[in-house]
This record gives sequence, structure tokens and C-alpha cells, in this order.
Amino acid sequence: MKTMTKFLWLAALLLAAPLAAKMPTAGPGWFSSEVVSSMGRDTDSMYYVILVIVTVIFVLSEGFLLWCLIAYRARPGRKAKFTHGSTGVEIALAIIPSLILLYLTVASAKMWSDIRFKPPKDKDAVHVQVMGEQFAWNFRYAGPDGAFGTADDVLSFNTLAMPVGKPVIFHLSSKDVIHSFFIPEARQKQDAVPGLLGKVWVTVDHMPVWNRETQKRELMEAAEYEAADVAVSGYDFKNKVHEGKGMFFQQASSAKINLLDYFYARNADPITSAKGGRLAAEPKYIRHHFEIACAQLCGTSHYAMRGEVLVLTPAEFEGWMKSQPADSELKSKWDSVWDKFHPEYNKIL
Amino acid sequence: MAITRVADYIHPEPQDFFHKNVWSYDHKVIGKQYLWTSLLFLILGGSLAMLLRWQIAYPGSTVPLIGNLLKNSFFFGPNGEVSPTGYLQLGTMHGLIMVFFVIIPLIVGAFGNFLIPLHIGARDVAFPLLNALSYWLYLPSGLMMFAAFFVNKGPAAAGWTSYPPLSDMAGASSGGLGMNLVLGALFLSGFSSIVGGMNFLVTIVKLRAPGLYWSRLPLVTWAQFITAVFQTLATPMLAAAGSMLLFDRVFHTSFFIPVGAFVGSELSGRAGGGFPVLFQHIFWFYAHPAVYILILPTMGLASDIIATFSRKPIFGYKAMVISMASIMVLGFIVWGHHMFVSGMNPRMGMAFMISTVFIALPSGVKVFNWLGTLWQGNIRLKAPMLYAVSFVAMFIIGGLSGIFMASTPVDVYIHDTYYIIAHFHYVVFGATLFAVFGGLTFWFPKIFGRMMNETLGKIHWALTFLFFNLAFFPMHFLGEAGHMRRLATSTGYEFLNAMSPWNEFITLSAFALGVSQVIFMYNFIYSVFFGPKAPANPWDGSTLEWTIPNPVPAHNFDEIPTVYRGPYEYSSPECGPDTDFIPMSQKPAEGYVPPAGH
Repeated sequence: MKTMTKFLWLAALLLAAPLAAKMPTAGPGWFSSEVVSSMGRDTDSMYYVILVIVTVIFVLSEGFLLWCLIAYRARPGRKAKFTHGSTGVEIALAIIPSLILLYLTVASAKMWSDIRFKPPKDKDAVHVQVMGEQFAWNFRYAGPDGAFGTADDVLSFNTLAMPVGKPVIFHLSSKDVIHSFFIPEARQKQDAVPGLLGKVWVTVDHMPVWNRETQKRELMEAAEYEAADVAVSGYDFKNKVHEGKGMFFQQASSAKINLLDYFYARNADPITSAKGGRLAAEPKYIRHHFEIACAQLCGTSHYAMRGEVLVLTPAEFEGWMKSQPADSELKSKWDSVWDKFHPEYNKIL
Repeated sequence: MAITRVADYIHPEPQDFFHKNVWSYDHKVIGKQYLWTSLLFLILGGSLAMLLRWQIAYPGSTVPLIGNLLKNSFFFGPNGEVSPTGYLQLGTMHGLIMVFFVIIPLIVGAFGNFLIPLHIGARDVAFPLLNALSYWLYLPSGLMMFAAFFVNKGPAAAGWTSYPPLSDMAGASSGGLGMNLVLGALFLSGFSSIVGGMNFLVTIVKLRAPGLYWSRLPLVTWAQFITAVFQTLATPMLAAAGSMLLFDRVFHTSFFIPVGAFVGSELSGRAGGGFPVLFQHIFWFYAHPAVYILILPTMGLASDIIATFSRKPIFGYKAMVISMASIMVLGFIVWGHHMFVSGMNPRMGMAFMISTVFIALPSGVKVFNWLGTLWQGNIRLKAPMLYAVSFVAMFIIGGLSGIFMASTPVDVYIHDTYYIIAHFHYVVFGATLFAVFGGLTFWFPKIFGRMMNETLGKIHWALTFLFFNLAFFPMHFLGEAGHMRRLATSTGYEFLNAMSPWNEFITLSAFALGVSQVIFMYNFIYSVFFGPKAPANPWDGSTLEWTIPNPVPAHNFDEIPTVYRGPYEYSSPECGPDTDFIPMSQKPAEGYVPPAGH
């Protein structure tokens, strides 16, 4: 049996060893992403306050547990102490965590009040209607007349433009099922529910770090994969749905490319690399700064319900609003869903 | 005509195979039926998780071994990869099977059935026929669930929470008949749960042995009692939510469908007027107490094991009971913490945050008391004890990570991310399943009359502890990076790219965790048939089940015992110099005065 035991322990170690080699090492992109709003920074601060508190409790309690297992392990001649407990110790150990929990409740309640009860009163705030659908985001801005549901509304599909320094108030609903509007960099998330108009807001207070150089580098790396076109041939970019079961997964995987690199390539002009030769392409403009995710399971292509955020200076934002083309297909979608069934959603300004 | 007290009645022992093993009224047999069935479902649910993990780490790659054999069927695409729809079906069925067909039947159906009558000195439960009915509702509901895999369009794919309208309108998700079967199965299993819960309540209230006051009840039974209250009061809400959803699906009512809802580019054709968030309220009014149904019974199992192997009474027995009762009361008013971003009025979010933060308190008290029980004990580190202390260690992590979610602003960010998956699995795998492993090895001698192999138990414990933590702890990192759950692949999101190596690492750890379970399966099945015969009281336990011989007679106790002391009087001066335990039912020596405070 002893040989068997040794063999089993050895087998167990062999099972564990390859994992050690696969352990990721720390690098950029770990943990939460860049935060772009003061509300987001407050959320992060709260997160770290809780992290410190629970780490201390974790170390003390797990340490005590381990120490007990070692110090009070059974030995010949030892006998356990016969006790049913200590009311004093129990009360003390209940009061201390109660105080900590009370502090966390008060601090969280204040912050909750800020992020859900006090919408910005800034007259310059930008109001955006957001309509989720399987599997994309539709955005509508009030045009020069300052009213929604009129001919001069500015419509956008899957791209959200936000002026830096101005509050943007989102009015959320959905065309079909529940989606969840999530901007990780703003630490903001709210379900878009059919039949309900939700309201959240974000003020991006600085231009994000994401820059043209980063894009260019990634683009040049992507260009090394000649199979890029093949890899995404089964993919409908506008609707972000793949044709044929599994085709997209399989091809992207076999070509070993990152789909996002292809997104850049599509919006680019040819350039010459530092080493010479036509290797890659440079984007005409910064394609996006960060992403909008759907955080609520919304159907088969839930994984592809990705939108993009463009952070612009107020002047650039004005330009962007003016440059958006009229899109009859998008307009008819807003007319037939939002305006027809929920005209009350437009009376928000 | 003489009247026999219910507690004294001995129902005749069945002689034929069918009545002995299949249609049996014996709580021990019914407990074993629950045990075997739920363990089979555990293997199924675990296997689904392995497929899920494969897809997340290697999206679009052919699944090894079975992918090529099952192309274009079940969850697989044309290349033997997990298809996006298949991924959602796998996740949905993994969750539903593990919650409703593994954990609840295992810790309530199997352990509750087997242990409650033995712990309270009864010959059976109060209503043996109802008890059999409870299992015979559970089994067909499980088969109904299983059948969903084989119908056109496959099983449900709307997540275990089945939020409408996704789960409501067939065109919105892939679930056709499969979703209806799942709802029917949940309805039946809920009925089974209510029947079982009421039976346990009456049994514990009415059939306790003389002298077994509430203050002397083993914590296993206390935990089952409180769980039974949860089951009886909360499960009808699941039936309500499920029935309304089924009506919406089959009869096209609009309980959860608002005016103007679309499916794709077409109007849904429903009258509308319903409200999707209503479902979430009803569902979570059941499902949050259900989370406590998933953990409370194992708190009882762990308490028994920790006291027995520490050779000490439970530290703060009354506080332990009060904590469980507080969890029950608070458990009914915290459901809204699942809905902070659902569109519910934020004022309610504030109220639910307060109740949620304070439910951490009784859980904390329990942890302190388990640690207090270890303190100055004489700890025997046998396999059941290793599992039980791991339960405590993992429950600490799962409990602490819950505090992040209770804080509403932080929850907004981590809601529906891998943080939630990490937290939930630290509680229901890390804590609950470790306690189940502990409970199975601890009571195995009483259930099967044989011993499990100690060395294999320790190896299994070590590997499970290691790989469980390697698989689930990094999910906190993913959650912190904002990694949403239920994504068939994260490769489409730029901000998640850096987390891909973690996804692969987690998957490999999960595979190692899965492979490690083979050791337990081998040890368990081998020992059932070939393990060494167990003595009546192999662990020197003091509760009533250890006073009866192996195999346990059909009527449990020849004579109903009288109880003289609490369940964990280990190392009491009353034990004498040669031993450190004294059974609850041993008559005190003439002139013995119990110590103060007892």
C-alpha cells in the first residue's frame, strides 16, 4: 500500500506540474482597465477599501485556522479543552464586524446616491437614447431642435460618441430581450429592458490614453498574418453575426489572428513600414477609444454584441454630429419600435 | 384497543427486492436513492462544465475525444467545436442541473433523509409515503431535464436564471421544446422539494426522542430544519414564476412581455402589458433563499465533523443556531441584491444593500465559532476533517468576496462578470461540495457499513483543494478586469485580450480538478462493495446514530433512546479518564452534576 501511496502522490504532482508552466505572469491589461470618470474612480476607491478590509480578515482568519490545525493537532496524552464558548468573545467578535459593515453600508449608500439619484443638472449635458437589440446597440441624439423623435435626430449604429468633460445621460431600453449596457472604463452598467426606460450617466473627464501609436503597432503585427481575409470571410461585420455554425471560431482560431486587428485593417489606408515595403495600413482616424459590452445573456451571438466609444473634444463632437449621414434603415427602426410603441420615452428633455 | 404512538410504531421490514430497494418507505433507502441519483447528475453537470471551459480557453477548436464523433449534434458545430448556441446550452444546463438536481437533492434529500431520523432518535420520518413520493417526483423531473438534451433545438439556452423575454419567446433564443421540458422539470422538482421540506419539519417537531430538547439538537438537524422552512415557504415562488413563464411560452400570455416587443425584425405578436423585471423579483425571491438551501445543510454537516474531530463541543452552540435562524429571516429580504442594475428603482437597491451587508454578520459569527471549536482542541486530521476545515476555509473566501457585491457601486461594475462566478463557486463548490465530501466520508460507515480508504481520501482532498483554488481564484482577476460571464468567446473584446492566458490556465486547472474526482469515485464505489467492515462508531462520535449497529436495522432503534445531554460533549469531565466522548443517550452516573453553562 505504501508503494501505491507514493505512486499516487507522484501522479498527483505530475498532474500539477504542467499547470505551473502555464501560470500567466503579470502584465499590462491585468485587473481593471483605465478609468475615465470621477464616478468610476470613486467606485475603484470603494473596491480597494473593501479589498484591504477583506484581505486583513482573510489573513487573520485563515492564518488562525491553519495555526489551530498545527498547534492543536492530536498528540498522545493531549486532551481538548472542554468549553461551550465564551459569551464575551462572541459578542466582541460580532460587534467588530458589525462596525465595519456599518461603515461600508454608509459609504456605499452615499456613493449609490451619487451614481443613481443625482443626475447631472448641467444644461450642456448630452442626452442619448440607447436601444439594445439582438445583437447591436443603437444610439440616438437629439438634433438642433433639442427634441427626440424628430427629423433632425442624429442616429448612430454601434458607435457612441462622447464629448470629453460633458455629462452624457443615457436613456436605455431594448427592442427585444434584456441587454446590459456596460462601459468598463466608466465602471457603469445598467440593463436595457424592453418596456422600461432606464437612466444612467457618465462624464468622461479626460482623453483616454489609447493612442494612434498603439493602433499602428497592433496593425503592423496583424499584417503578418496573411490569412486575415480568409479568417473573417464568414463574418458579417455590420450585423456582427457569423454565417454558418462555428465557421468564424474555427477560422479565426486556425489563422491565429485577433479579430480586432482586422477591424483596424478595414478602416485604413496603405502605408509603408519602417523596414520598407507595403506591410500594413494606417488608420485614417482613431477608430475608437474603448468598448461597450453587453453584460446580460441576450441570445446566441451575445458574445458579439460589442459597441465602440469615441471620446472627442466638444468641438470634434459637434463636427461628428454634423457629419453623421441620414440613414433611412436606422430611422425606420427607431420609428417602428421606439416612437411607435413608446412615444413617452421621447419626452425626457 | 391499544394505541401505538407514531414514534413507537415499527413498520414491517420489506422482504422482496422491489420493496426493499426501489419502492421503499425506509428513509435510509430513500436517502441512498437520492444519493446515487444526485451523484450521477453530478458527473453529468461536471462534464458539461469541462466542455464549457474548453470552449472559453480554445474557442472554435475541436473538442478532444468527442468533438469529431458528435459533429453537428448536441452542442457541437460542423468541426466538432462547441457552437455558440451549444455554449449557452451547456452553461444553462450545467447551472440548472448542479443547483436543482445535484446540490439540493444531495445535501437535503440524501443527507437529510438519512440523518434526521437517526439524529433525533426516530424510527423513520413522520410521513414515509410522502417521503417516497418526494424521491419519485425528483427522479422523473431529473429524467425530464435529461430528455431536454435530445429534443429538436436542444435544451434551454437562456441561462439558469431563465430571464424573459429571452426565455419567453421561442424565436429569441434557441430553446424550443427543450425550454418547456426544463420548466416542467423544475416544477416537478420544486414540488418534490416542498413535500420533502414539510415532512422534515413535522418529523423534527414531532418525533424527537425523549430528552432531545431543541437545545440538544445536533446542528445537522437544526440546519435541515431551517432549510426545510426555506424550502416550504420559498419554493412555491419558483413554481409561480415557472408556471407564468410556461403559460407565456405555450399559451402566448404576456406575463413578462411588454407592449411592442420584437423578435428579430418582427413584432412578437403578443398582446404585451407584462413586465420582464417582475420575473426577476419572483425568481430571486425563491432563488436567493435557494442559495442558502445550497449552503445551510452543509454548515450543519461541517459543524458535526469539526466538533467530532476537534474532540470539543461546538463553540457557541446557541450563537450557531441563532445565526442560522437569522440567515433564514434575512435570506427572505435580500433578493434584490441580484437586481441592482436590473432597472429596479434605485431606492430599493439601497434597502437591499443594507439587508445584504448585514446578512454577512451571522455568516461571520458561524466562521468565528468554527474557528473557536478548533481552538484548544485535540484535532484528528482524518480525511473527513480535512474536507470540513476546507469547507470553512473556502466559505471564508466565498463570504468575503460577497461583501464586494453587497456594496452597490462596486456591484454595478462586477455584476454579471466572472467575479460572480468565482464567488458563487467558492460557496457552492468550495464550501458545499467540500462539506459533502466530508459528510460522505464521515457517514459512509453508517450509510454503507464499510470504511472508505483514508489515503485515497487524503490524496483526493489535496488535489481537489489545490486545483479548485487554481481554477476559481483567478476568476476574481477576470471579474476585476470586467470580463463578462456567459460569453461563448471573449476574443471579440479588445479589453479582455490580456485575460486570455488566464482563461487557458483556469481551463487546465478545471480539467485537473475534474480528473482528480476519479480518485473519489473509485474510492467511493470500491468501498461500497469491498471496503473493510466498519465498526458501529469508528470516529468516537457522540450523536445517536453512532450508538446503533451496522448495518442499521430497518427500524433504526430497538428501543427509542432517551437523551441526557447535548450532541457534542467531547472531552467533558463526564467522559472519564479513558475516553473523550460520551453518547447523548448514555445515562449519567448516579449523582453526576452537569458543568455550569450547559
